[in-house]
Amino acid sequence: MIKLTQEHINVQQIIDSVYSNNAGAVDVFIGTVRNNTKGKNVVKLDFEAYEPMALKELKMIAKEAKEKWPVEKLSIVHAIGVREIGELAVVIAVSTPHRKASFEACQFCIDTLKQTVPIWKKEVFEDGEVWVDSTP
Amino acid sequence: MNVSVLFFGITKEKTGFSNYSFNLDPQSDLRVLEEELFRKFPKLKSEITFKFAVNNEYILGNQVLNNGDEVALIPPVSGG
Repeated sequence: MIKLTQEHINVQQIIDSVYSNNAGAVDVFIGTVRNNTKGKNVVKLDFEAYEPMALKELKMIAKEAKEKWPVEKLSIVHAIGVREIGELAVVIAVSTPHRKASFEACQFCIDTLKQTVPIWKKEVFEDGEVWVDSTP
Repeated sequence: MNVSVLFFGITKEKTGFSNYSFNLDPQSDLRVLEEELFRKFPKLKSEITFKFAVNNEYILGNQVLNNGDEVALIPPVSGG
């Protein structure tokens, strides 16, 4: 399952989507909305995506992970729109025959997502807002 | 020829547009479009950095554009 969603992300549904009788391990990464950044209080985040390209890049990440590790199934779901503190921004689940590959593949997915997928996060503070990492 | 340009995040904020259509001479490339963009939206040159994507694909160097291409300005991504 690779998708972007305006809805709340259901972790169990994503875990269920990667269950496989051939897998002895499922690793899950959950990115949540933190209430502070660099000492400032964050009220909420607002995610924007270039949706067709973001989906394409996410599918490329999944494909590459499957080439590098013996992945049974892999799901990536990322939020778009406003998310409050404690809500989920992204969930990645990977099933593999043994645990080491699932840890590594899952980390590869989130690390690569953060570098390549055209999704942008706006931090909303009590006194303003800023697009993260937007200025050189 | 017409090229459709999409803006996201900080590039949308700095230009005030989510999309803008540019009429370019045939065989124009990304550098020509970039000049037009900087002329029309000077803040893109002076205040931020971005990459180009053409038809959903990152273009790191230059590329000749075609009529109907969709060009996106991709500021530093921050998903996750």
